[in-house]
This record gives sequence, C-alpha cells and structure tokens, in this order.
Amino acid sequence: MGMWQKHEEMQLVEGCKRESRIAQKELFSKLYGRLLSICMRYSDDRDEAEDILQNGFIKVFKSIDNYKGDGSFEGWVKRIIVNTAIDNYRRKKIRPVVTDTELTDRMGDQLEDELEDESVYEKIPISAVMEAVQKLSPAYKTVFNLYVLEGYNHNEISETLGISVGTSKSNLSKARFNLKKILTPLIERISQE
Amino acid sequence: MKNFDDIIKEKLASQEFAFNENAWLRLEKELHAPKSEPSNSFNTSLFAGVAVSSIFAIALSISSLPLSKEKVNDGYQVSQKEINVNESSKKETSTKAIFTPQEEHEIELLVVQQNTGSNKTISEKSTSSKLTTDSEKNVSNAGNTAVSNKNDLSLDESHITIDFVASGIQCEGKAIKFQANESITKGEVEWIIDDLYVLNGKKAEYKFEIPGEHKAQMIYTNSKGEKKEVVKLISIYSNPKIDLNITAESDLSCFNRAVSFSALPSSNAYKWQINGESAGSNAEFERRLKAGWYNIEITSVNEFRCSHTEKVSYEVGEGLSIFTPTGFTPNRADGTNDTWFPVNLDKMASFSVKVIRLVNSEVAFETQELKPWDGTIMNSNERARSGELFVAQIMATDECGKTQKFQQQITIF
Repeated sequence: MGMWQKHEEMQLVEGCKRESRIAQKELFSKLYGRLLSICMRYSDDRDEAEDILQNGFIKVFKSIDNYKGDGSFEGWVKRIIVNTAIDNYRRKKIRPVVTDTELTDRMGDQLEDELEDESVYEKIPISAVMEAVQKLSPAYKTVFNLYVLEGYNHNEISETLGISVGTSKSNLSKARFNLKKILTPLIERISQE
Repeated sequence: MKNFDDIIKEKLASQEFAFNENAWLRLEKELHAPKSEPSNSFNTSLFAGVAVSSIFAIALSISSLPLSKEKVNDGYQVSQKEINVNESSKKETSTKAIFTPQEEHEIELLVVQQNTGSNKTISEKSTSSKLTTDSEKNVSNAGNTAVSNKNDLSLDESHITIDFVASGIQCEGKAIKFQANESITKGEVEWIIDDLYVLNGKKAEYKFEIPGEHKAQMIYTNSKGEKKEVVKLISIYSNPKIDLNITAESDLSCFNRAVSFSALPSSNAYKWQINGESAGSNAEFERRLKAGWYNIEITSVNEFRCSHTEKVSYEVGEGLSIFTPTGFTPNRADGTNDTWFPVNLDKMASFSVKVIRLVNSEVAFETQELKPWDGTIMNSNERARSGELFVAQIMATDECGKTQKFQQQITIF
C-alpha cells in the first residue's frame, strides 16, 4: 500500500472510530467487493454471504477502537470476517464429515499430481469456481478455505473448528476431490473447444 | 507449475463484487439508532471508555441475532415497480377497443354436406355461437354452399348420429379441437381438413395457419367398411398485426429519459408490460425510464377478438446526469481547478450540496445555490489541507420532479 492510500485509510479509520456514518459507508463500500467474495466462499449462497458480511462489519465497527494501526487494516477486517464465517459454520452445528484419512490423503495427493493440463484450469470462469466451492458441504468448504485460501495449517484448523487433525486432512482431500468432480464436465467442455 | 490449490486460490482471490447500496442500508440500520448525520461537534465515540470485553460481548450478541432480510429502498433511485406504476409524468390517450380476447368456446360451424343414409343435402348451422361480431357473421354466411351427396349408404346403425362439434379459439394458429358425436362408439373416424390433411380418431386437433373459411370433413366407417360423412365449414379469423414503435426522446432535461410507446392500428385494444409489470392499456403512452435494458411485451386484440403478443428488448440511454469532480487543488492558486462544484446542477429544479470533512464529520461547505466551494472550511478561516478527504452529499431534484441523492468522495490535492 502506497503512502497516499495509507493516509486515506487512516482518515477513514479515524472517522469510523468517531462513528461517522459517512466514513463507515466509505469504508464499507471500499471493502465490500473483496470481503463479500470471501464470505461467498464460506456460504451456500449470496444471501448467507451477505449475512456473514453484515455480522462481520458490525463487529468491525463496534471494535474498531482496538485497531491501533499495527499491520494492514484490511487484513485486520478480513480476519474478523473470516472468524465471523467460522462462527456461522459453528452455529450451523453440522458435524464435520469424517472419512478414511489414509484413503483421502492418498486421494488428495493423486489429485494434485494429476493436474497436468494447467491451461484448461486457467480457462475456467471465476464464477464457476465459486459456484463449485459453494456446492461443497459446509465442513469441506470451511476446511478448504482455511487451508488453501487463508493459509491455516491442519493443527490450526483442528483448534479453530474443534476437529481432529485427521478429520481436517480428510475433509481437505475430500473437498479437493469433490471440487474436481463438480468441475469435470466444464473442464471436458473447455478441453474440447 | 501451479497445482490445483494454486489455481483455485488465484481465481477465488481475484473475484470482487460490485458495491450494493442496499447492503449498506441494511448494515446502517443495524448499526445506528436514528440520529442526524453528520454531527457538527467533535463527539467522541459512544464506545470510548467501554471495556473491550464489553464491546465484543455486544458485538457477538448482535451478530447472533437473526437479521432482517427486508429490502430497503435506497431512496437514491426509484425501484422498477415505481417506474412502471407510479410514474407521474406519463400521459395517455384512450382507445375505444376493449381488451377481451377470445376464450376457448364451442364454435359455430356451417354444415355443407351431411350423408347420413338418406338422399339429402343439408345446409344449416350446427351449433350456437358465442361470438357476436358482425365480421364473424359475414364470414359464416359467405360459406353457405351446398355440396352434393355421392355416398349415400344404408347402415343398420340408427342410433348413431353422424355429426361432430368443434371448440377452441377461432383465430389463426390456435388449436381447434374436433370431436365426433358421442353416439359414435364403434367404428373408425377419419378427418380430412381442407381436402388435404388427414387425422384419425374420435377426437382430432388442428391449427389453421391461414385466416378464412376452412373445410372439416368427418368420415365414419363402420365394421362392415361402410362410410358416412359430414362436411362443415369453420371460419378462422386473422390475428392483429402490431406496428410497434418505441422512441427515447433526445431531450436530456431529467434523470430519466422520456420514452414514447405506440402501437398501430389504434383501433385495437392493447396491454403493455415493461419488465413484467403492467404498463397500461392504451395504444400510445409515454414513460420516463432510467437507463438500462427493458423487456417490452405488448398484446393486441382486434375486432375478431384474436390476440397477438410481441416481445422486444429496448435499451434506454442515460438521461441527464450529474458529474461530481473527485478532487481539486484550492491551495495552488494557479487559476486551474481551484474550486469544486458538481456539473449539471444548474439544470436542476432544486438541489442542495453539503461537503463533510471525513475525519471528524464537520460540515465544511453547504449551499443550495450555484456557488462553487473554494476549499474554505465553513464558519472559519481554515483551509482544507492537501491530502484531506471530504465527502460531498448531493440531493438534486430534476425538472420532472425526480429526486436523486448521492455521495462522492473529494480529495484535496
């Protein structure tokens, strides 16, 4: 982030700390697009994603005094939004899917090895990828998002979601497997073009 | 080489959605109890001094509440429904025709030949009609021509009535259902339409694609191979042709463009829909529509009560718009870009402009006149500093009475 953007961001944060509705709207509108995209990955549809985003932003504005300017502000907001998505997942009280860890670990490895035609995957529209992720079960998509998108390791996922490391691994493998399965018809169509 | 995870991550990370004003209004409703904004005073946060744990407790309790999905009208642009139904600027002219398209009914047929076993030729109307137009009577009478009887057979089936009825909508392209008399329970029934098209069965269905008189012949064949027949004429009426014209006026005096809709002939009855919403029943009318694509559907009904629907997509261009500069340089005093003012506000019936200092919500400038802002903070000698952010809140009402509100960030360079 350049000096100018940082300067602008600090003014917005300061305005939000004073509960300026104008500053809050400016901040919300600036971050809305990217953060809704994160929420979409953790939800089944846009309505659920909008709910997560709204709940997350309520937390952001109510606790903005805690942001002391250390580190990226957007990163700080993003963490709150992801935590809100995780809370949402917990509230659903859906039991994490447990499968044969050894089997799914192998499956996951194979899947990564099998990805040879990178150019075909590059051609998949972003919307199709998002749709595929949304079709995953909540347990699979939460683990997949935390591991692949947020960079959590299995120990951290285990602690965050209250599941075993084995379950985290198997859910990740199964998520990859299902994602590929969902995308296969599209990949075949693209390959034929 | 990228692996599966990398590609998915790259794609998902690059997705960004367009800002949705309604999302903010919903959030704003949750965040703020009713209070006026902006505040001119330097209020400290309501939460200053509240323990951090309490803040989180409040935030978490709010977040766990079920949130309303109520759709909030943003007040900045009218909804589609409002455009279609409540547009105040519409002007309409009336037509005499009434929109009553034919419904499925039993059709009056003209019997031109009935070979029922006796040597007779009959010419009579076989059923009552539900249609009462003069045109229909003219068409029916025109076909009152007898056909000679050539196949007079003596069948020992006195209980059978060799006859049929027809029902449907008497318009071109609509299905007409023919049904043999219910006394015909055995034997074969064959239908010959216009001496060309052959159908089989006690019930048959046919669509006449050309208006005018058509011949429907029913031939009954008993188990011995003996035949009897009846021939009737059916009148089929033409569907209306719609000469549709949609024009957006070039005059850009309002936010929404004036769009004229007209259909000919004006003697027909019409029903219009714009984006699925009813938009009136006159041959011509005018609406003011905001820019965008519209699905126009028009159904016309003519004197025969036949109907025809046409669907078109029409793009309405931008109307009068207000351009708000995003920055200016009041402190350079170089004669260039020294003041700030939205463009096209002079074309509005009324407007108000308020510029608010983002960092403390102080009103820096306020006017309802064509008076540009030179960067001076209102009620003080202070000047906006380079790098400072302000937000302009503009409310403008155009000559058509339509009000728009919007907010724009301004940067002092």
